[in-house]
Amino acid sequence: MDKQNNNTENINMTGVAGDYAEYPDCGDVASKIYEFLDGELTEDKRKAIQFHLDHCAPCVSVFEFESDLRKLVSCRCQEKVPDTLKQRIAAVISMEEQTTKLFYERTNVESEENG
Amino acid sequence: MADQAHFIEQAMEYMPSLYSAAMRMTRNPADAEDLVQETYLKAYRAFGSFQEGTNLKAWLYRILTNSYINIYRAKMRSPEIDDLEDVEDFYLYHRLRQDKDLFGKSAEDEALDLFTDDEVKEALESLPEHFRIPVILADVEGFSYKEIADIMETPVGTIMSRLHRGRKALQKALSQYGLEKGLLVAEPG
Repeated sequence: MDKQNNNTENINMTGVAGDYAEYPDCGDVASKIYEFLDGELTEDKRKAIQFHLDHCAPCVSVFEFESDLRKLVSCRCQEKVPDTLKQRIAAVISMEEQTTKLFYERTNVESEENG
Repeated sequence: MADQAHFIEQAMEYMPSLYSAAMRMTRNPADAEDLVQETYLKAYRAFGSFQEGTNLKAWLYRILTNSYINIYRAKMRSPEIDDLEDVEDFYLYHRLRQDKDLFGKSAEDEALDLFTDDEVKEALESLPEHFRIPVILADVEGFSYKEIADIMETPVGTIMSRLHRGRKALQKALSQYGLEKGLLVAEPG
């Protein structure tokens, strides 16, 4: 997330000393948990959320679940590339290579003939 | 500027992840194979314009995503209203936890292992395209918000909002499978 957004959020933040960056409550953590998981927080905010998670069992329970779910989605959605596809792509690119080469050879011959 | 002669050695390692993403986009192997082949051909032709040293994986995904949107005329604009307004945050967690009496303590963690590969894939594939693509790019492929914004040529704020809603929709879809498997009981009301 960019810096400007962070600042806007801090200004809008009310409540505990207005200092979310140091003491996020459970609501703050809930609203930032995906950005935390996505590695999109600034170092200060990441540390603040981590501190809260280290001391709050209900929040850490949600966090661990979301983290496990992320791993599940990522692992279960991997596919093995069919060998036929690898061969097709190799063939298509090699044909494209030949075509390009022929095109340049012909262009060179023509320009030599003309010149 | 990248040399076409180096295309094969640099680009081929991304085929498994491109093919996995193409499967989630097109939802069938034949179309996914065509889409990946099209992506590699376009990438080979355009490789001269690729800036060596920049993110090749993201560049390939941009071609894949654009090709998918163009070929399949994917609807990338979100409808004004969707039915996710009433879906609470961490929906699946709360649903599984509600029924923890069925399974005992921290059942929600173990319940996840009971989903099969096909269920997770189908749940993801059930999302509308404007949610599905950001979720594939973030949660399956691990791209950053900025990278996804570049790949989809969409502002970061829009990507974040679609990811948030897409993840909710995914949890709702998974909870439907959970319901069918008896991992959780129907929501009261």
